[in-house]
Amino acid sequence: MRKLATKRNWKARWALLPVVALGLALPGTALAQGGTAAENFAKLCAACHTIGGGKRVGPDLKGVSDRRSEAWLIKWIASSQALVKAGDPDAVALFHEYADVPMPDVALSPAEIRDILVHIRGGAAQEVKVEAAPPATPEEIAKGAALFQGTAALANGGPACSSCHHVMHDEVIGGGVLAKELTTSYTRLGGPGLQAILSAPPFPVMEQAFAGKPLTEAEVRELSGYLESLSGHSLYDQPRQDSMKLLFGGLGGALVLMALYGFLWRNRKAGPVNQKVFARQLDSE
Amino acid sequence: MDIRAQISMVFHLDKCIGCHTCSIACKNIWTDRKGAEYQWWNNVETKPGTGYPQKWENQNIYRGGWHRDESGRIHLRGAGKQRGLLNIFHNPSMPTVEDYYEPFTYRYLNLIEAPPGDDQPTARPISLITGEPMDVKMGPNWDDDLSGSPDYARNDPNLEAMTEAEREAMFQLERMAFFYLPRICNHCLNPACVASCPSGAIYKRGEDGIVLINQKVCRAWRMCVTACPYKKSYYNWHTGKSEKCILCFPRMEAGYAPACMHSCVGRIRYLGVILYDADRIEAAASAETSELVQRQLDMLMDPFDPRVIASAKANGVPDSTIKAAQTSPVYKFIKEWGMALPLHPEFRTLPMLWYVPPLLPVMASVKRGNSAQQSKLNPIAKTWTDDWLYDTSTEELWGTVEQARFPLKYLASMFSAGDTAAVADKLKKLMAVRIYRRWKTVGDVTEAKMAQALRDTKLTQESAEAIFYLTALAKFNDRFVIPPAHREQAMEMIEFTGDVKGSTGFGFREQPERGL
Repeated sequence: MRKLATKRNWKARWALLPVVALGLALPGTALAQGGTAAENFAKLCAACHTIGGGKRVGPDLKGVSDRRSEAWLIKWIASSQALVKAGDPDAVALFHEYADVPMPDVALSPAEIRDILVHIRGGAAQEVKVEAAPPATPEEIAKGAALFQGTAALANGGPACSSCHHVMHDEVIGGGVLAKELTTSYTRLGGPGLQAILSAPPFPVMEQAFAGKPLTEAEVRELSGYLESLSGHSLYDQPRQDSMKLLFGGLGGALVLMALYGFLWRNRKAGPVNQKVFARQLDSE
Repeated sequence: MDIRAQISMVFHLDKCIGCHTCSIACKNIWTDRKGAEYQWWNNVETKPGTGYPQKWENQNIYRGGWHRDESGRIHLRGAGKQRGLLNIFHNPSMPTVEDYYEPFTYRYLNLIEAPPGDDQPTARPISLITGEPMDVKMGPNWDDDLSGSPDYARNDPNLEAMTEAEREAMFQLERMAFFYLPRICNHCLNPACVASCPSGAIYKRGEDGIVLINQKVCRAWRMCVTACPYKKSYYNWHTGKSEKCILCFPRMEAGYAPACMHSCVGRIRYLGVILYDADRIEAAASAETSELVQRQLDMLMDPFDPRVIASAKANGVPDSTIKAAQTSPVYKFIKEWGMALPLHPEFRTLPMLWYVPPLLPVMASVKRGNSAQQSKLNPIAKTWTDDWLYDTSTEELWGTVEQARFPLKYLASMFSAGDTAAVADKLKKLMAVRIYRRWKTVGDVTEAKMAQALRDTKLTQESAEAIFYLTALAKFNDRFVIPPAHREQAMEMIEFTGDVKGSTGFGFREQPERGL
């Protein structure tokens, strides 16, 4: 009995292992912040927002503190989706206004968020200009295409984009249909928006899929470069419509296989040896 | 030399009356179970006929047994590595239940429990597989006694060895004859079922050569069902395992003859040990078709030869088994007297159930009367004349054997892979013994004729007497020489029986009033 108990104990411990591992891994996914408000803004916000620089993915933040209460802003920044789900009318309206692109949650304390709000308020004078990234090179785009389709593995072991997403591109066959179609993603979100989403996925499923396996900076650049390249010529792409071909190919293949089997087993015993005798006999019903 | 012991059998077809008692004895003991109703480990067929399962001898249909290629090597005809793998999930050569027959019973209770009505109550046939009423279309001996239908006798695969005219002649009313062929598993020396099993579930028992299917290992691939050219491995659809004749090994180990042999009314069955040389199996199985029987006979060794005995002992064959081999009636019939032949040796499984071919139907002839009238008729035509006689006597010695009603070609197709001389040899021996006994008991045969008959068949008066004894008079222990199974030794290999010595045995169910 003792032996058994020990065994079960061990089993229980082993069973705990994934839970423990998850627990260790989860805090890692949250962005470890710190630094000044200006640095935080540059790192976390500037991808999608400007201060007086006009709309990008998200709204221009100049004078945001005049438009919204501070308490609301802190809640929104901490978890915009929680607010949307809670049905806050302002939050819902804002969410819809910006094409339902959710704003990634930031792991900052309310005090830090307040600091950023102060930074934004005072930042009108010293506008933070986000440097426009140089356009992706053809090599990067090609690498991005490979990463998207999964022909090249992501460095940290994340799943390939085409597992869930599809794009309209001649070279992509049968991307996933589990998540949004990404052909026009660049047009909708812009390069900085794409890069922000790629480096810290705000969507719950995507966040889970990439938990502990974040994309590297180079990969983010390559993928966003690839998606950008699509937005340019997706109009001219005529991706293969394989569904009917597959159907007829399958039917034709089945016929060919049946003919082959019929030939290979042409001398098989096809029925009872006395079939003729049975066929002559009368049935009672 | 690698001498092993094999339980072998001889069926004396001259004595079989086709009563099916053997089949019933076997069925009652072994196959009266769900899923096994259609199985007849022992069955009796009428020859010519298509048998059970239907046309089992036609390996173009069932692809059983071994096939010899140009290089002289043998391969399984329907199984083996490539072909077996190709067909492993659906074996197209498998006999279906229609090829055997759908087992049935009758709703007897309806005869006494039917509500009152205008019609007589009937007992409808009920399928033992589905439990539903069915039309009986086939049975395990559907073509018994030729069954009066051309569907069966004339479709006998053995008739292919004969010309159209010979076939027609066989079915002329006055010439028509048939005999019975009881069949069980042959417990072959080169069993195709063992070779075909993908699971390795079938094995040939070391001590007596009985071929068995391990029910724990069998995975229902059913390759054995097709591979056995005699169709003596059956699939039990209820247990999902294949089954076959086990030669009543539990009875044999207790010293009893197998149930089919024990119950045989005609006493046609003989069973005994034969020592054979396992080193020659491959060469014998892949011999030229014309040599097959002789090569198989050469494998069966003289149990009195000191070298054979030494090799057998080296292989762990017990003295008691060697002694049983020396008194084996089977060895006498097969080897010493050379009176028996294996069934379809061309399947190359080296069957160890041998048959003494039937003489009786070939003996009788219709005596021809008016020769003037006769000359106008076809030689096979019937002639009804006043001196019509069903004649069993012979003027010349072997005339009736050569011009038998039952063509030698037909028997040769069954028992000697087409060698009519081998069959004629056996029939002449049977006849020589009759001539000898007729000379001895009736006295209407001259001594010279008797002596010539024995000389022609290389028999002596002593051997003819011995054949007569074993054929007509033999007692139970003469017909079945079963070697002791030495279960006590087998037991000691598993556990040390000394452990319980002194602690078990006689006891009391109630405490005695005094004592203890």
